[in-house]
Amino acid sequence: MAKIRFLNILVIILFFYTAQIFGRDGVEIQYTPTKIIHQQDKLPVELVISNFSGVPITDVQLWYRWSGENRFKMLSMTNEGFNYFAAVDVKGENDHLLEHYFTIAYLDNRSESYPADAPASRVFRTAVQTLRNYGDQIVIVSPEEEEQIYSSDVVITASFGSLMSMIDIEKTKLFLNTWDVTPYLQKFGDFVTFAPHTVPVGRHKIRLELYDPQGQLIASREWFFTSLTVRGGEVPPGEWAVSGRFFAETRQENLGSTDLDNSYNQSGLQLRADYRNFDLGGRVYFSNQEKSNRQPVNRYSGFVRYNFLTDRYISLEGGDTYPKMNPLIMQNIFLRGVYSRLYLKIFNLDFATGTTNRGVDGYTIFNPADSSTTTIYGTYRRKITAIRPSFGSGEKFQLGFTYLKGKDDVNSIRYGINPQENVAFGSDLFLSFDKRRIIFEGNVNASLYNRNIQGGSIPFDSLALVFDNISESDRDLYDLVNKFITLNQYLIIRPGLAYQTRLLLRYFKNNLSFMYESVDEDYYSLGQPYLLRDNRGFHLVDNIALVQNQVFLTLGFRKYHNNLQDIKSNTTNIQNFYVNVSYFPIKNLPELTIGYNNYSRNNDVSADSLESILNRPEDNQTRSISFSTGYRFAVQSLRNRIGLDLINYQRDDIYKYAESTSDYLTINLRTQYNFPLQTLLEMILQQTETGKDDPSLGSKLSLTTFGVGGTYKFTNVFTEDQLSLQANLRYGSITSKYNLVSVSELKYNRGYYSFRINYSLPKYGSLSVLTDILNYSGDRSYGDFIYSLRYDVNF
Amino acid sequence: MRLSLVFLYLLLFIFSYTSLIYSADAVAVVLNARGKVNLYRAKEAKAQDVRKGTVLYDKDKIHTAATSICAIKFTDDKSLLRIKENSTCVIEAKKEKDRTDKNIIVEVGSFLANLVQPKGKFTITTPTSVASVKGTKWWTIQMMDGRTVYICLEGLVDLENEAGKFLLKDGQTATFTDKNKSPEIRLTNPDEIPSDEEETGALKSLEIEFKDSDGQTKRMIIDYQEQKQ
Repeated sequence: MAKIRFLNILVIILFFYTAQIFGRDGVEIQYTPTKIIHQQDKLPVELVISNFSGVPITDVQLWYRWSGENRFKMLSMTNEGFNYFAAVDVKGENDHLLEHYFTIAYLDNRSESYPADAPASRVFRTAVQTLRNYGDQIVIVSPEEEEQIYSSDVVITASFGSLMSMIDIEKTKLFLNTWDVTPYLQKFGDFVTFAPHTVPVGRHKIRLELYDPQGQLIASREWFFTSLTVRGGEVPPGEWAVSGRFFAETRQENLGSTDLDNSYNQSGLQLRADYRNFDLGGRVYFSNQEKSNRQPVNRYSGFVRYNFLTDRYISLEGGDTYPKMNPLIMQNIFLRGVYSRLYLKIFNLDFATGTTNRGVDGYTIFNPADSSTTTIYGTYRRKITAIRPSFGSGEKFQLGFTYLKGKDDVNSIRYGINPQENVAFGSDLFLSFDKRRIIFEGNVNASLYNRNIQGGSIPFDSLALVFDNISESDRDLYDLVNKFITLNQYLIIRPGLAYQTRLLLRYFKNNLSFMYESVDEDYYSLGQPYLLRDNRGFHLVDNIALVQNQVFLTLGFRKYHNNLQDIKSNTTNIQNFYVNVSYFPIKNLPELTIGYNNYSRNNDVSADSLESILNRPEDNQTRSISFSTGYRFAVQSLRNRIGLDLINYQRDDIYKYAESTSDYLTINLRTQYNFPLQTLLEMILQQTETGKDDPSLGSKLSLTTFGVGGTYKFTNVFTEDQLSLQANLRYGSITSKYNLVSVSELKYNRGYYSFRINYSLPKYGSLSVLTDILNYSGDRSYGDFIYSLRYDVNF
Repeated sequence: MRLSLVFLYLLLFIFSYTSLIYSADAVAVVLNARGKVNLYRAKEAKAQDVRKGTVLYDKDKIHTAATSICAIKFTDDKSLLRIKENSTCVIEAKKEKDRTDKNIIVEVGSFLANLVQPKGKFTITTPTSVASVKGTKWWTIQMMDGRTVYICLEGLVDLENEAGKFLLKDGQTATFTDKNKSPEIRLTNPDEIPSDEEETGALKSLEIEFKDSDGQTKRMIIDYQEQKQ
């Protein structure tokens, strides 16, 4: 009873204690970066975004790379209400640092990064470590190791009483062979159980993984059993293994800042089935935000894969896909069409075709005042086709050739401008030696780009009339080139080149990476829209794991420049030096990370040209120093983690208005009680001064935020169910001072309150009620209110 | 804004109400249930059907009907309890760190306990006596006429009632007629040992794949009728 009384007091405190915290304007992002993971195949990433901006989010992407790599890879995050999920494959990447950040795209084509200054100054880092696995303390309850059991009698149960204080039961995962059966798992304090209706006849592997609250693998255990067929009085075992997930959500937004009342409804269904050597699946997602005059919001996809011999397969995906081929030709893009793969190891073939942009027509606006007409241009439907034959499994060797053709459909809309066309061809090579301790990879690519194909090709005869050096013998060449790209005055005849090469050496606890790359200004691939063109340079980085992989030292240096074709009036040189030291102790000592980053840009244009428009000087240097520490400790039966983050950010610039200094301080305390309550206390301080020496554009920002939150989980409320209650309260005061005549000071308070209730019943799914309230007072005064109702079920 | 206030009050009400709910410890899992097996949760009068995978909590009561059987395993140490037909018992289990003290309160019926590496205490309480052991396999049979029969198959079983403490060795059977009387202990008659087989009496088959001397895969299918008592 004392516990219950204590809990009541805490809940009341949670409700009536008004604390504060800061978030960016209109968008509240919650993310707890994982500092370290142990021996996992996947790094799960979860982002919670409460969007008060009034503009719907269209896509959230996770960008990641291994420290030392130059280019980030993209994962489109799966959306479930406010939550966005992704999992990065970290298999075989022990003793390595993973860097990542997020981009959030909105319906109005605005996009932002999280952290805000990523990737230039700050990214999240996660260390992948090899540490002790407590799998021997997992008790296999059923089926026993190597037990022979009837297929209809299988109940998988394992307990881990001695690990209870270390793990977060909600993060537990269970695999039956390669099938992730976690959604069907019943989780209790010290054991988990899963009772499949039946399992196919044969030998099966079970793998149980236990994680700590930070998502790090604490213990894993694998065991085998054999399933025997049962006939006669039993139901014959089905050979289809079908699983899936369904959700439906409705969200109402009352945004006081814009007097908008928005209603969002979305629903999705995912299905997956295994049948002998076949894997099949599909996904549909519907939203009431789908409109013919926007890029697609709804998603439809299906796949079938046939596995044969050893790890060989043929697969076909239809609908919305994300093909990955050569990284400079086809990657990080959404394609609605078909993506097929044949993987035989000795020979493989990837093929993708479809559209990346939907045709959205523009329109005209008539101005009666002067009888003029303004045209708002639309977006052409863009078709992409790519093919990549390759040789080798990719484990030690692979040689691939990629061809891509992209073209805007000029007939897809009436009001458009500059429809584009492009072909790209490239080859890529991968080699590894000495158990992948030496890796060499590289690719060389060329492209042709036409920036306006309206009107089509100029006929050969017309060209022959204009150019004296074109004769009838050139007609065959003209016809050949015309099959690939439109020939007109907008075609950039000189092929653009792009290449990159990387050498990775893993010896003596070092991960040394050297990358050299170059991308011409004229190099385009409509299948890879995120390339920084007119850029050449190298990136050298060494990651060193020391003291039994407890200390990670990262030293990196980058040097790049533009103006590759020497046609600009000046060349900008970019230099970046960074060092990062992290200490992740095996024993319970404080974690520690110290980082220094120095980024500079200089184009050697004299300061005398400050007022010049065409020849503007660029000379700036950004330095950041970060310090982060965390410590886990127990007070009686309470498990706590206290974290402290300090960041100092300073920018010197030849333009005084662009100079700035920022200091951030974050302190948080997470507490797990010996009953299922988890709380969070948080404080954030920020001070930013911009344009200190600029008499008219300077400003100061001061921010103080406090937060408190808690989650309580009840089990067996009515039956074998679970009720989870969560409340987060944040309150902050913001003061901005400006060197402006119109506004000298802006002072306001910002309160953010979120409440979550989730009731889940195995087999019947879970129902959630979510409420978010954002309230401003002072010089900015309005309130936003969002509430959502959501149903999820796994089957 | 009025709507948001109502919503807040509603949330507060739910939070306050649910904070009073008590949660019991989950301690065991049903591995097998055939025929009609009922489960009565603590303080619940309504029965629910038991299926494989059903999780059991402290104070749960299990009843098996005729030609029914149930097998449960405790999750802390894999202690197995088979419950034969026409049996009723209540499972008491108290969790202490990584072990669980278990007490099976038998009302009537036949129970086979099989303990391999017990962590906590394991006792079976009948109207006439209490049996406790460490690492043993034995039957407990509570007759309708009030007699309790213990048949020790492996190891040693400690028996206790108002009359004193008694040790039962493997191959011995003890019969209690009253909680105040000493048991009659004698050698076990093999015919008295209940069958440990499942009792559905169904036709089943066992398929075994093997390779012959030529390396060819063969399949042997054994069809059999289960024994029914």
